[in-house]
Amino acid sequence: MQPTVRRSEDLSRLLGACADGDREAFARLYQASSAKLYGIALRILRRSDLAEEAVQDAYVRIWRRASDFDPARASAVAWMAAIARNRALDIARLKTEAPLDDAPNAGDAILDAPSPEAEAELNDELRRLAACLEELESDRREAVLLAYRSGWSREELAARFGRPVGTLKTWLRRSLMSLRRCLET
Amino acid sequence: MSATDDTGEGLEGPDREGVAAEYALGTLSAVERAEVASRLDLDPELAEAVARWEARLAPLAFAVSEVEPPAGLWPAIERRVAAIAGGGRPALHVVKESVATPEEEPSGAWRIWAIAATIAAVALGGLFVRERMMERSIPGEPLVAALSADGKGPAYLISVDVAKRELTIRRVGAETPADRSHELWLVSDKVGKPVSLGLVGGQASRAALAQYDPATFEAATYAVSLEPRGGSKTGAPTGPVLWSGKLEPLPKTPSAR
Repeated sequence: MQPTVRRSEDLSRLLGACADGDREAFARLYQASSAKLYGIALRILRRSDLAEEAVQDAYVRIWRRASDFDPARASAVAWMAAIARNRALDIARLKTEAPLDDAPNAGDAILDAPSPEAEAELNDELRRLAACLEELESDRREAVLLAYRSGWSREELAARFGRPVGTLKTWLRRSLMSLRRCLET
Repeated sequence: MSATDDTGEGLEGPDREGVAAEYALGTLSAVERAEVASRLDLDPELAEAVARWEARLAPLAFAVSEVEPPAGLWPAIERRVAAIAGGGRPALHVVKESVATPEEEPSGAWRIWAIAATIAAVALGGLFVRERMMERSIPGEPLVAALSADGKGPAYLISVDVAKRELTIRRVGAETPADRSHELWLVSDKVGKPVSLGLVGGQASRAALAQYDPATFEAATYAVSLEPRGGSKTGAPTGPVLWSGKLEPLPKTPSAR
């Protein structure tokens, strides 16, 4: 896997070729992005069979919807990551009982060892977001991180923080609005 | 508190931004997520709001550790994409051309349900190997799904005759409360909103899939929700999704496992 293909302009170009039905480009797109998408899905679903299902569905959707990708709206990797996350979350939410087996402090660190490419490429954006997250109260920040990265539901978060589900919903919505305000200033 | 009511109001009212944000964060329920997802193609404003939230939070996703996926994943994706691209349908879905189909005999029908139950048991035991199953499947044989909640035995089994575009659902472990109904939904992003296939009251019932193309109903998720007696009044699931599952091909030699 060559790091050069990871650059978002290259991924964008590959997505453009996929929209034209280029299966070769699709194979290279998979090569360049599958470890990222699988990592994201596995973190949420914590089971390799389910993560495989999510990523498989995600790439089929990426192929089908490649022509919808708009580089002005999001980077190629952000667009693909959102598709994989959404599929993983759909699967996670359809399970009525999700296990609470994440490490107790899984949500604390904002960064888990990003790849050097990811660091170089996204440092500014990530640093800004991390700074805004730091402004939240620590339990709220942890709730947002557990929800976003580990796919925890409101119910799971409510159990974890010993608060009613409605309170967690309020926490999450207020935290998100604070993040938006912070990012926009 | 009813999560569904929240979304129902939220999607129309001033709380759309909050719903879009929570959709991107991932904390909406299955039903709320399905509702939002089904709106995205029809409501550009909502789609824009969701896309913005996804972009705001995306740096966090990039900070998640990369994990190399198993080697079997790419061939599976390639097969599905080849089928879409018109490079021929995957072998397991080719419909048998012979006129006499032994599966239509009562003993054959019984065999299908026995195999479906085996698949369900194997799937729940965590030994399910999708790739191996696909290689073993017989062209033209039905696809089956076990509808279950995580970690529990199946409540319903589904068998789909792809050629006839017909679905049969059989109750195996479900109990319907006297004053409520179980309703079966086809959930697919190609269709948009979850579509009701009907109530599943009896021991076994049939539903036609004629209006969907096979690529849609083969890849769809089938879900049973708890609804007021007589079914959802709104055309969308209103109660919790109790069980769900996806179709799998039948293994060729389940007894030899």
